[in-house]
Amino acid sequence: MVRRSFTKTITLLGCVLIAFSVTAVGQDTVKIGILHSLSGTMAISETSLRDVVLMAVEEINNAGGVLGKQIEPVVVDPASNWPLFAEKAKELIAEEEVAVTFGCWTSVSRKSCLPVFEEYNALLFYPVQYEGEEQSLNVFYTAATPNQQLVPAAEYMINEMGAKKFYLLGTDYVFPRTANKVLKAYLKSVGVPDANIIEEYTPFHHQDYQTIVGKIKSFAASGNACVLSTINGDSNVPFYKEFANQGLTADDCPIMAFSVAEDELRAMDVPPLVGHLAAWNYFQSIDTKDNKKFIRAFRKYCKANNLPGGSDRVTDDPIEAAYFGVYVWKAAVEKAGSFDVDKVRKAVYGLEFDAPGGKKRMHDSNQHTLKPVYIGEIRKNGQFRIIYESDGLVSPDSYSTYLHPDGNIPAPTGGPKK
Amino acid sequence: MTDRLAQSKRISSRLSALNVLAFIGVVIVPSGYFAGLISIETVNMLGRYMAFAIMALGLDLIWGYTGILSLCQAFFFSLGGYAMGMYLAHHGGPEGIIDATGWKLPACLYVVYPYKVGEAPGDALVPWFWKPFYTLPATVLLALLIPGGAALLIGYFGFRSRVRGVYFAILTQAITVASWLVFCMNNMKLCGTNGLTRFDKIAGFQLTHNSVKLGLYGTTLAALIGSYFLCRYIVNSRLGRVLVAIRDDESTLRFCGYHAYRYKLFAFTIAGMLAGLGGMLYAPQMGIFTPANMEASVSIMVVVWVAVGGRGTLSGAIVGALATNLLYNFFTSQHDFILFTWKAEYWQFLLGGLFIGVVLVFPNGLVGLVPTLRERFAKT
Amino acid sequence: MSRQGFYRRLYPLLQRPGGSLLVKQGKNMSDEYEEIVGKIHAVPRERIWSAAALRWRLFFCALSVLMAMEAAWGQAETDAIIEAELLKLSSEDTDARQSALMVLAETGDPRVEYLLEAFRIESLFVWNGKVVVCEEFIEDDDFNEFAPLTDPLSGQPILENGKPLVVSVDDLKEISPSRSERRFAQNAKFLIRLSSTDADARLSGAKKCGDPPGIPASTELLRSMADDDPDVRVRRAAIESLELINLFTAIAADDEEATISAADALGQMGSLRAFDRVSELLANESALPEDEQSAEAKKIFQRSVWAIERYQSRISKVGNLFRGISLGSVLILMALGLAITFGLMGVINMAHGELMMIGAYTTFEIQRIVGHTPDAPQNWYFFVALPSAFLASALVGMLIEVLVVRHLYRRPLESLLATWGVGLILIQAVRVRYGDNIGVNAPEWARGSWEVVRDLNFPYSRLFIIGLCAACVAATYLLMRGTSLGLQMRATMQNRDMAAGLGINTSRVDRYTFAFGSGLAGVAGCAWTLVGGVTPDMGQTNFIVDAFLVVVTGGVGELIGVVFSGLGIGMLTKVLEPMEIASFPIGAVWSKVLLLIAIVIFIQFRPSGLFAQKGRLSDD
Repeated sequence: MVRRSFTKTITLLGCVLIAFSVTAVGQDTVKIGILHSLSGTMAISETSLRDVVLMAVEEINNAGGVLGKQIEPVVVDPASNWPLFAEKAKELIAEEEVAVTFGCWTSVSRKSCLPVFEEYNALLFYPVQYEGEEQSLNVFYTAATPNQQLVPAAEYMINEMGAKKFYLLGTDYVFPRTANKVLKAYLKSVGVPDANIIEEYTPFHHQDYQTIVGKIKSFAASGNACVLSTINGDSNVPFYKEFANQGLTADDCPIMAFSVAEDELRAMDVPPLVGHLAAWNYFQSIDTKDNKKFIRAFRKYCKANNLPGGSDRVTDDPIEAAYFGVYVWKAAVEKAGSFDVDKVRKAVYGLEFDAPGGKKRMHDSNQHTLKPVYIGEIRKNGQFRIIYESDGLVSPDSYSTYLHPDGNIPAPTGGPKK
Repeated sequence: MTDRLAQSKRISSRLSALNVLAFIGVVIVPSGYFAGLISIETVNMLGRYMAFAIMALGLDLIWGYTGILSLCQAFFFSLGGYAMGMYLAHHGGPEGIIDATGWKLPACLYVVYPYKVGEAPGDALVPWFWKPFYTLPATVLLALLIPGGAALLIGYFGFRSRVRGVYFAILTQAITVASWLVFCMNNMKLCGTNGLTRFDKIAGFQLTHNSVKLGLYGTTLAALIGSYFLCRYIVNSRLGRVLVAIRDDESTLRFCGYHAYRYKLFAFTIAGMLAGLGGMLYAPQMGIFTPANMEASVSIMVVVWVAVGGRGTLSGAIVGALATNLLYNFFTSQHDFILFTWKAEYWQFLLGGLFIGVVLVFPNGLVGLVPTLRERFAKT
Repeated sequence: MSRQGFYRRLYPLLQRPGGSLLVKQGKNMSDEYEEIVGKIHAVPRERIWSAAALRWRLFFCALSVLMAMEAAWGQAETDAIIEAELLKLSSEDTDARQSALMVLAETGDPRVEYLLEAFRIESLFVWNGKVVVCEEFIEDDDFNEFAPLTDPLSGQPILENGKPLVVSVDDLKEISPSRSERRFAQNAKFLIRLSSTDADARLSGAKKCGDPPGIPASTELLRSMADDDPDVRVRRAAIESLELINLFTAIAADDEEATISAADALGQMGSLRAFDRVSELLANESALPEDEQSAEAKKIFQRSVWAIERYQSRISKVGNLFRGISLGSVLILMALGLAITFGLMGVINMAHGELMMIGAYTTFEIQRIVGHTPDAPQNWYFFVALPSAFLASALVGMLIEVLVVRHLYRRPLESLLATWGVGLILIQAVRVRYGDNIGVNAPEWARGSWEVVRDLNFPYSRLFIIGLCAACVAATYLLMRGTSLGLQMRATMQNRDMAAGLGINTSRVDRYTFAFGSGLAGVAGCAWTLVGGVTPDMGQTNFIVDAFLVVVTGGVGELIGVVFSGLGIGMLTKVLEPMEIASFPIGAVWSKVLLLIAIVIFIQFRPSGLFAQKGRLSDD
C-alpha cells in the first residue's frame, strides 16, 4: 500500500518532468556549453562573461551560424562551487554533447573540470588571466600568462614611475602566490634588494585592511614605493576604501592591480582611486572603431535583454577574451570544416584574428594567446586611461621562465585519446 | 503506548521507502547502465551523492538522535577526502619530479609548491605528512582514524567541559573555519585552494574507466548500506536509547548516574568516522578535492540535508542528502519546459522555497511526507 | 628672498653629479629627455642623466631661463600670460608646447593645476580656436557622442544661453601630450598645489615636495607655510619636508655637518619619512672602518633612528588600539541585531546576513534616488539612508516573521533550515534586480581622515561607525530597559506562556522584536557601505559566521555580552595581526586562525559564553 503510493508519486513526478521537458534539437544546430557561475561569490565577475558569450552567439547566429548551423548555447550555473564545475562539465560534454565549452574564472574551477575535459577530449576556452604553469591540449587560454601582464607592469613601475620599493599584496591562493613568485624573481633579477620587497597575504573575503594599509603607509612614507596587488574579488572594495580613507593617494603610493578591471570598478567608489594603475591586455578605452562597435553592441545587448546595469555596462579584459574566444572557435571550425575537437584544435594553432581590442594571434603550439600589454590609469569615470602599450604582441609563456630558468618544462597534458 | 505504536508504524513505512531506494541503487541503476539507459556519469554522480549521504548519516546520529548540533561534519569529511586525495595524487598525473629523497613529487603539489627564496624546482621535497598516504590500505585506515581521532579530541574537550547547544555548534564551526583557512594556505604544502588534482589511478586501475567508476559506485553503495545498518544497530541498541535520552533530557540522565559525555563522545566519533568514510569515497569519484569542501557553509548544508530528509530518522538523512543534491544538480542547469524556460541561476528560489516548505508543511521532513500522504489517502 | 635669487641658488645644485638618491637609470627615457632638453636649453651634459633627476632638472632649468622675464607678476599679468600660453599648448610644435607648459607651471597659479591635469589626462581640446576641456563624452541613445565643454581654468561648464555648451565630437581637435610632457604636468602640480586654497591640496603638495629627491625650489614657499599656514597638518608637513630637503641637499653635497643636523632634527620629530634615509646613513657610517668613522655622526644617526622608532611604536600602539575598537564596533553592529533575533528570541536566524545586505542595497537605492554622484554630491543622503535601511530591513524582517519564523518558536532548530532558505531567496531576488557590481559612493564627509598627530590618522568613516555603534547599543539598551515595549519584549522572551498569561500580546511583541533586530541589521548594512563592498551574497560570505561567533562568545541572551565579545574579538585580531612570533610575522591569515583557536579555548572555560544567562535557549 505504502510502497505503491510512494512509487506512484515518483512515477507521477517523473512523467510530469518528462512531459514538460522538450526534446528539442533539429539537425541544423550545434550546441555549445557556457560554464560560468551565476550565483555565489564568483557571480560578481562571471555573469558578465555569460552575457558576452551569449551576445557573440547571437551575433554569429544572425550572421548565418557556423558551417551553416545555428549555435544553441547551453547555460549552466556551477554556483561558485568547484566540484559542481566538474559535474556541470560532465553534464555538458556527456549528456548535452556540446562541441565546445566556454567557461571558468578561478584557477581552481578550471583545475576541477580539467580532468573531465581531458577524459572526454573536449575543448574549453578559458578567458581569464591566470598564474600559468599549465598547458592542457584540451584548453585554449585566451587571457594573459604572467609574462603578458605581471612582468611588463613591474618593469613599468621601475622605469617610468621610479618605484624602488614594492609591496606585494594578494589573497592567499594560487594565482597571487605564483604571481608574486614571478614578480619577486623578476625584481631580484633587476637588482631590487630583499629589504625593499614585502610580501603579504590575506584570507579569502578579507574585509578589514586597517593593519595592512597602516603597514603600507609606513612602508611608503619615504617615497618611491608602490603596491603590486593581486587581491581578488570582494576584498578589493574594502582595501581601496581603506587605502583612500587613511589618506593615501596614487601620488603617495600607486597601486598596480592585476585583478581590478572596469567591471570591478563599477562596484567601487572611484574618485579616491583616480591615478591608481592596472595592467591588462585590453581596456574599454582602446580607441578603435572595432572596439567602439563592440562596446556599443554589448551595451545594446544588455539593455535589450534587461540585464542588470543595462546600457551602463562596461567591457573589460576577461569580457573581451571571452568574446573573441567564441570567434576564434568559429574561425577554427570553419578552417577545419568540422566540429571535431582534434581538427579544431589544429586549426586554432597560429590562427590570426581581429579582436575588439585589435589584431591578436593564437600561439603556434602552447594553447595560449599572443596579446598586447596595456597599462591603464584609473579615471574618475571608472575607465582607464592607457599610459603604456607594448610594442606589438607579446608571446605567452605557459611556464614562466622566471620559475623554470633551466627551460625544463613539463609536456602538455590531455589531448587525443590514445 | 500509542506513541510507540505510531513510531513502529512510522518505522515500517520508512523501511519501505528505504527498500525502494535500496532497490533503485542495487538493481535499477546498474541494470539501467548496462542497458544503456543511464550514462556512466549519472552512475558516478549518484555514487558521489551517496558519499554525501554517508556523511549525513553521521550527522543524523549526532544531531538527530543525540541532539548535538555539530558544524564540523564537513571538516571530518574533508579529512577523509584529503587522505584519499593524497593517495590518489601520489599515483596521479605524469608531471612532477623525483625529489632528492627519491620520492615522486605529486603533480598537483609540483605546480603550487611553495619554494623558499633561492630554491629552484629541483629543491622541492615531498613533505613528511604526504608519505603515509602512499599505499591504499594505510590510506583507508588513516582516512577513518584521522577524522575519528580529530572527533575524539574535539569531543573530549568539548563534552568534558559540558559545552552544549549553540555553544558547541559555534565551537565546531570555529574549528572548521580555522582549518579551512589553514588548508587554503599555499605554504602548508596541501596544494592551497587549488586542492588535490591530477588523480589518475586507484589501486592500479585507471579512474576514467567506466568499470572503475561502476566499481566505486558499488563500493559506495555497499558502504552506505553498511553505515546504515551500523547506525540502525546503534540507535536500536540500549546505547541508542541513551543517546535519545541525552537529546531529550540530559540533566535527568546525568542524575540517573550515566556519564553522558562518554555516550556523546562515542556518537560524535562514529559520526566523524562516517564523514571520513564519505570523504574517502567521494575523492576518487570527484577527481579533485579542494578546501572548498570544508567551508563553513558546507557543514550547514549537511544540517540542511538532514533536516530536509527528516531529522532523527536514518532514512531521512539518506533521502535528504540525495534529494537535495539531485535537485541542486538538476536546477542549476537550464531546462526548456513547454511553458517556460528554467534559468540556471534561479535554483536558489527553488531550493530556498523547498527549505521553507519542508519546515512549514512537512515538519518531519521528506520521509515524514509518506505517512502524511498515507493518512490523507486513508481519510479520503 | 626674491624668487629670482632663489632659483639662482638652486641652479648650481642641479649641476652636481647624481648622488645615491637618484633612481636607477631608465634607458629609453633618458634619450627622449636629452632630446627635449637639448632643444630647450643648452645644459652641460657631462654625465649620464637619470630619469628622476632629469625630470626635475628639466623643470628647474626651464624655470631659471624664464627668470629673464620680470618676476613679481600681478594677477592681471598672470591671466594674460596664461591666456597667451594656453593656445600654444595646441601647437604641433613640440618646442612651443614645452615652453608653454613651463610658463604655465611657473605662474604658480592654482587654477593651472586643473589645466595641467586636463592636459595630462588628454582632456584638452581645441574648439573654435579656443582651448577647452571635455572630461567625458556623453552618448545619446543611438550612441552618437557629444562633448560637454568646460573652461580650462575655472573648471566650470562653459555656458551658452545659460545652458551648458555641448558640441559634437567631430568639432573637437585633440591635444595629445607626449609621455614626457605628461610626466612634467604630473610633477608640476605638486608645486602648484602649495599655493592652493584647499588645505588637503596644500598638504599633499607639502608632503610630495619633500619626497626624494626633494624639490628644493619649494623651500621658500614651504618655509612661509611652516610659519603661518592656517592648517596644523600643513604646517607639520611643511616643517618635515623642509628638513627632508635639507637632508637630501646635504647628502648630495656631501656636507656632513648639515647632514647630521638635518638627521638630528628629523629624529627629534620622529619623522617616519626620514627613517629609511637616516638608517641608510647609519648603516653607511657603521660600514666604514673604525678609524674613518665619525663617532659624533654615528651617535646622532643612531639616536635619530631610535627616536623615530620610539615615536612610531608609540603611534602604532595607539593606532592598533583604534583599529581594534573600530573592527570591534563593526562586529558589534553586525551582531547586535542577531543578539536580539537569535540571542533573545532563539531563532537561528541564518538570514541575518541577508538583512544586512538589504540595508546596504537600500543605501544604494537611496543614493540613486537622491542622485548622489561624485560629481554632484548630496552628502546628506546618508542620513536618509540610515533610517530607510532600518525600515526596509525591519519590514522584510517582519515579513519573514509573519510568514515563516512565527511558526517555529517552539522548534528553534528548524528555524535554521527555514531562514537559510529565506536567505537564498533574498540573495537571488536582489541579484536578479540589481546584478552584482554596484557601487555605493561614500558621502564626502566620510572620506579622508583626521590626523591626530603626525602619522596617526583616524579615518572619518571609522569614527562614524564607532559613534553609530555606540548610538545603536544605547538605543537598544534604552528600548529594552526604558520602555514598556522593552519590558514586554523581555517578559515574552523569558517566559512566553507566563507573559501571555499576564495579558501581553506575545505574537505582536514577537513581531516587533524580530523587526527591531532585523532593522538593526539594516543599519549595520548601511554603515558597512562606508568601509566595505556590496554584493548580493555579502551576508553569507562575510557576516553570518562572524556574527554568530560574536553573539555566542558574548553569551546568548545577554545584549551586553555582544559589546564585550565584539570589542574583545576586534582587539585581539588587531593585536595579533601585526605581531611577530620568532620573527615570523603572523599576518592576516594566521591572526584569524589564532583568533578562532582562542575562541575555541575560551568556550572550553566558559561553556555558556561571557555572560551566561537564562533565556529560551538556556536549557537547550
